[in-house]
Amino acid sequence: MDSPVSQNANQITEQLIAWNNGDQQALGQLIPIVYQELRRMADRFLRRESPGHTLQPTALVHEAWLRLIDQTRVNWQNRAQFFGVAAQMMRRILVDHAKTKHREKRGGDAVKLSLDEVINLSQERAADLIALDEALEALSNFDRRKCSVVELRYFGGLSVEETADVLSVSPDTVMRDWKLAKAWLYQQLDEGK
Amino acid sequence: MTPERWQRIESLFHSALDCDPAGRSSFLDKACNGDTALRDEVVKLLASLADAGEFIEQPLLETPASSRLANAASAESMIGKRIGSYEILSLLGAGGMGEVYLAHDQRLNRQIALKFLPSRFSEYAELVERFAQEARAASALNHPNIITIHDIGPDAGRHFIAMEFVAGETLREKLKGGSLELRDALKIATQIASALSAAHTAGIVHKDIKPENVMVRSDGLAKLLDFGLAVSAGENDSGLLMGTPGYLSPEQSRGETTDHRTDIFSLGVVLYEMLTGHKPAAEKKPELPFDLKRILNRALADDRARRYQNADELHRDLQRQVRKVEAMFESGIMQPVQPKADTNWKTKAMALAAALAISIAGWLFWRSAISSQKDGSSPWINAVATKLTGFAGNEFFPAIAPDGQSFVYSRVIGQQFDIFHQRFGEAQPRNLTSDSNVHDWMAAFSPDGSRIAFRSDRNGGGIFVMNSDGGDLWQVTSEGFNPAWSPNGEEIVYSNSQANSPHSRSLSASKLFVVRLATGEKRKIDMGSANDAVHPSWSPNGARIAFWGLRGTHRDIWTVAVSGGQPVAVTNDDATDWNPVWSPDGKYLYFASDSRGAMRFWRVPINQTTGEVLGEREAVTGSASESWHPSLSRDGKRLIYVNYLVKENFYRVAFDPQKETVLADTLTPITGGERRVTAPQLSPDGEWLAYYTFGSPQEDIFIMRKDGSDPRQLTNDRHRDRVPRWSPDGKRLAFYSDRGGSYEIWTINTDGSGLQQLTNWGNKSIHYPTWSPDGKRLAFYNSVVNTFIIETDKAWSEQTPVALPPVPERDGHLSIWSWSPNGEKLAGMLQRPGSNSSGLMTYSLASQQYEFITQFGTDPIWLSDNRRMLFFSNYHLYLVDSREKQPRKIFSLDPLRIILATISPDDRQIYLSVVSPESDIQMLTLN
Repeated sequence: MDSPVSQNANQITEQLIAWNNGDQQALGQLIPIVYQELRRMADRFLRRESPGHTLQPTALVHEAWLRLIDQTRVNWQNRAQFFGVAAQMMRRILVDHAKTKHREKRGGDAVKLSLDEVINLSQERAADLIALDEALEALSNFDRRKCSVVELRYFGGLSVEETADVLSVSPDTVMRDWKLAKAWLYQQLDEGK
Repeated sequence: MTPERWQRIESLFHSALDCDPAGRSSFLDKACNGDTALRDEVVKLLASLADAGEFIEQPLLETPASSRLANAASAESMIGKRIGSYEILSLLGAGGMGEVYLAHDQRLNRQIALKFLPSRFSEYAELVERFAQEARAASALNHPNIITIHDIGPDAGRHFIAMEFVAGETLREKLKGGSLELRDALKIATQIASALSAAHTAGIVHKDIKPENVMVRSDGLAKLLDFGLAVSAGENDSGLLMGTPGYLSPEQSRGETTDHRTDIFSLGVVLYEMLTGHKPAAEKKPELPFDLKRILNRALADDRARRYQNADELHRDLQRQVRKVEAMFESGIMQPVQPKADTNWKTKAMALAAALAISIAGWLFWRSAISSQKDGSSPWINAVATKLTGFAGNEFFPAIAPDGQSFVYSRVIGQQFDIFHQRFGEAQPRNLTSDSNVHDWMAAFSPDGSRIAFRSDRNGGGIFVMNSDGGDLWQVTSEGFNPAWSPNGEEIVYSNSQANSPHSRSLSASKLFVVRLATGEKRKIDMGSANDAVHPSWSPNGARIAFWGLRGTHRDIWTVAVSGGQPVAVTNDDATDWNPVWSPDGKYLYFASDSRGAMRFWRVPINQTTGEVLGEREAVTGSASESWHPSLSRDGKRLIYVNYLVKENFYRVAFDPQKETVLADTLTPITGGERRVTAPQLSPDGEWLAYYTFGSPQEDIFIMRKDGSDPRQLTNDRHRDRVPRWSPDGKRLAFYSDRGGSYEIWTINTDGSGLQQLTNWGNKSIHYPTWSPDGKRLAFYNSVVNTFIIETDKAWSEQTPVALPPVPERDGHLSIWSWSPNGEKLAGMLQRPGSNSSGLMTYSLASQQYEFITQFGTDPIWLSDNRRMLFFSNYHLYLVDSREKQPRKIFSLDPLRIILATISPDDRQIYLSVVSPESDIQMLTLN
């Protein structure tokens, strides 16, 4: 309530609406704020919740939406776009974390991140996650939408319908994209082993 | 990976997945056609998909450490245990609010459901007590749709609820197969609304209505679970968002206080999900029957005050829908839709929507009425014309009822079109769409006359159908304009852009679509290379559809087979040909064309099966005024249409030259007649207006006082006298006139005497006389060549007209409109050969330099500061400072059109010339 972030809710909402209206600069200003907030919330959730509690990414993204945005001034379309960005943020947060974790194994900077407990990331899974991130990057080079579908569902925790909303396609299309993307990514990871 | 190859792989991958696994190999052999590398890639991907299993299926943050496994583990340990007198038999389900078990109540020898609350509840005894009170109170209502609570209590440190066991599934489970049958969805929603009505009356609010909390028995009985749980839970941890995202009301999302209307919103979401298979979302506009959309819109209103105010009201509305649907099933009009893989919610909804409309209309089959119209030259030329409507403003799109007793048309009320129904012989029309505050227009009678299809902007816009009395409205499509019925009344053809007037077509290509009313299935009419089609009309034998569209910038008419194909041209000329309509016997195509001057009707004999034109066109109406939008009676003896007129009048409005604002509330009409007046100019003393009357039958010069009084006609003959301009001494007017054979400049004294010819150039078109402020010179525009300046005290034989220098870097010249008050500059438009003017420019007489002021606009008028100018663009008034060159719109009278203006010497009053399009409905009757 007294975080500087929520005091800026007006400004953030302005930026979201401006971005929605095609202002790409507004997105540039929006990203770091959403990133920080998600990051902060992920840490906070972790400290407060008892082990074993299910922390759902949707809950994180949803709460970020409620905290950062003035709900009286936005519509469902703004919401879909916000969730789209938030899912990308989640991907960055989680992959960055996996990379830190991975460096630990190699004797790098052993920072104990609270996120550890949330993701419960083993060294092995951290490596998998980094590989997945790289495969997704490759996928996005020739099929950006399929990459987004995976981002939204796997990192953002969005349902098929919510994903369809964000991408303005039908749920059927999301499922078709999902199947092929899953097959292709699995193949990349499998070959990489 | 190239995008092309990836697309190929994608298409094969999905096709192969759709194949029977046994047939995949042979399918791929055939489809890859020897490209083994391609085949290998697809096979590898298919194998990967099979191997991938749960890979990335769970969102990353839902880890194995989640409560899912913990719950499963604890479930194992619970089975067989005894809680009080309950013996736990099996796990029924688990969710965020705890696990539910089937248990045997040994004391009363019955099966019950036993729900354990999450352990965090245990720490808050007080809350548990409040929850128990709520749950018991709801249960005590003894409502058939509220689950009965038997017992609540702590046991071995865990809180449980023992409740009635319902043999069925949760609504969430039912929804896993997609949307529900409309009848089922309505029945479930009705029962929940009934439960809520009872609970709310007792002061109990649920606050967590969602499919997980509704049990549905196999016989359709629905029961609402978990009263009180969300209330108590919400107070447990203020930092956590309680309730369920997606079902939260806006006030819940905002963390505001909630009340019973919160439940109404959530029930709305649940109903929406049952009907469509998904939750309400931004860009999805489901094509539901209109009544249902109305109910959903009210239940889902963001503002609580606009929602249903109590559940009882919602319950009654839902019940009414259930009764309608039940009647449909009983009468056999509607069959339950068999669940099929390809049956989506839309098809189901549309089937119901069609059935609803049909039943209420009384399903009259179309009787084909064959008229016996004589062949030969058009008999219409001698028909009698009758004026049917005469309202101010536009009346458009008349359609005559098949029984010939009445007609409908569209008319502007306020800012919007409504559809009016009027009987012949009666003057009182009935507004069929008074309940909507958006455009409703383009009405078309169904062949049996029972229904009307039309375009409405409601619900995002689309084609709607209502009974011919305006009742039982429903939405057929979420797009489209100008609907036309198939002869059997089963389908409607429409275009996806609109075509109101022949001049207002945008250059975007419009397509034709056919929608089947019974199913809502829509298909595009494939038209080969033709790329624009609007305003369709279906041939009486059902074979072809006539339409018009753009061919380059020309408007022409074609017909196309209903099944699609290459269209056959009906017209192909430079004229504007549009608005085709079939004669009821299918022998002629009627249309509007300006090929011989005024826009009027023609008809051409045509083969309605092949589209072949069988003869020359014949005139149907005379050329006295413009005729649009024809509609023929079934017997072919009456033709109703739009008689299109235009009014133009003067208004005065105050202007603040410092703030550069128009004071809109000072707008005052100066003239108000039927006769079109235009091109006003204030006299140098600011007391008089000069102007001319425009259009048929005469164009004459007038002056009147600035308040509109004391009009004086200065010329009165069949010649066209246009654009009068005051001499700076206020004694004479210069104007241009064709009285000498071609347009030349003439002058006349303000008392009507002293008419004399100033220029005598011959076969040139000379326009826009513009006096210098000292009155010694006069500039004019020769539309073939340039702007010239002459001296006013010389006879034409002594004149040496001075041309302006060529415009540098532009292929064009300045077309003069006004002279700056200090005499230094001319202002006008940049005119290029063969095109419209492209922006404003000035010319300095001293430096002989041009300056470009704007990229758009016409007819600049100097303010007294010699810097700023008023001008016009797209019927709006603009202001620009000729030094800063930042044009700004300062006034608009939409939908009226500001086309010209004059400003008082002190810059404080602007006199506007405003065009209001005017049209009435007329009828031609054959004897």
